[in-house]
Amino acid sequence: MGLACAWACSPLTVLAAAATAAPSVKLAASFSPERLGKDTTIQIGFHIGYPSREAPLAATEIQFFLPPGLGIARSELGLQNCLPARLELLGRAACPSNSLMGHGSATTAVPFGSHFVVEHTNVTLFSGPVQGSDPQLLFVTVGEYPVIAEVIFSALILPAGPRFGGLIEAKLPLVPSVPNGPDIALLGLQTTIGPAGIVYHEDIDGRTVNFRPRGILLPESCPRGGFPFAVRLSFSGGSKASASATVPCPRAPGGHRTPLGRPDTRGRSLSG
Amino acid sequence: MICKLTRSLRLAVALSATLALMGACASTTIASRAVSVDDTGHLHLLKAFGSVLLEEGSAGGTLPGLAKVRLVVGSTVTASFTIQTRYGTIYGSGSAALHSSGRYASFGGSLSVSHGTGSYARAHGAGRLYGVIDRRTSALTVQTVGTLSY
Repeated sequence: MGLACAWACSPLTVLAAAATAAPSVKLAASFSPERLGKDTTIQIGFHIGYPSREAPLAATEIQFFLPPGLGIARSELGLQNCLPARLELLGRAACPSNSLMGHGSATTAVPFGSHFVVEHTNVTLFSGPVQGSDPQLLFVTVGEYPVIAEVIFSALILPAGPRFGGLIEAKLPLVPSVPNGPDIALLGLQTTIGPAGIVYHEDIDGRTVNFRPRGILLPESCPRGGFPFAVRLSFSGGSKASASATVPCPRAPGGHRTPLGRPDTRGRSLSG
Repeated sequence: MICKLTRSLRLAVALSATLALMGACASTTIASRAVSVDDTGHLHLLKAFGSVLLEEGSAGGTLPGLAKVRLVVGSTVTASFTIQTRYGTIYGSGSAALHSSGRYASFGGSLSVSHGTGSYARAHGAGRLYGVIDRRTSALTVQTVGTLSY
């Protein structure tokens, strides 16, 4: 989960300039714990890079591709749903604790005059009502400096290509830095999807009992070549960027690996 | 002779973000060999591995039996199932989509019966399935409605 600091902890400002070159993206993913046949939490995040002196762009869509065989349905995540209308009206406090699905952070570039200022925001992930027949996730990002803003966007869990087990697709709203000003640009986002750091509550015989929800069940055997992840981003102006990463199969029961999966440099097609 | 004149069947399938199906039954004469199915069953989780759930349970409908279901739960849910009745075993498959989420996730979809054994050796049919799963306990309640020929 130290992903953000790789690019976001520096107090850098970026010169605003006309954006012409396509951005690049690096993806990192991991499981915690990483044990086949056991419950886990997914950690996934990406960092967007821009050519020198190019202005960051506002992202309009994020697609996270998840590996096949993950036991999301078996998990207890999202035993309650957060209602989008209440979330918009009342903020995160409106969401039941049993709708919490994960948390993380995002880094944005806020345009001020001819410069961009980096802003760090907290990200919270909730379960939302089914849309059509698609499960829905609600992302809430809260930033405090230099812009105090709460941005809410929803994502749907959709079918993916044959190489992947599912797709989380989010349409992002354009958020101006000031009224009628340029849009805030996304530099990176990382989040967990799973029970790490989450406590649910239930009433048993009139008493409120805390419990940790079951996580996402890993299969008892690995997909060939490991667990594939990918991300595809769309930006204002129409440019796109994508990246993939693979979480290798554990070498032995209880084996450990680096906290975050390796970026995949083999240039696989996202469509499988 | 009543037993020979009455044929019942039940199916089982299931889901989560999850589903299941189960049995069905009805009555008709041997000559027609087609029955309308409308039944309800209850299943529980036997084992889960990755996106696969194994469920088992009894149907409380016209023809009691044991239903076993193998579910693959992803963005959609597919299931293969067997139903063991006193007159034979029925094999089939189904798929369903999520209708609501939360602790009690509901689903709906379709099922088909492909073959069978015993009195159901020539079983085939199709129908709809509806269900609810308690994601805290993995208990499933499923209704099936359709037609079975055998």
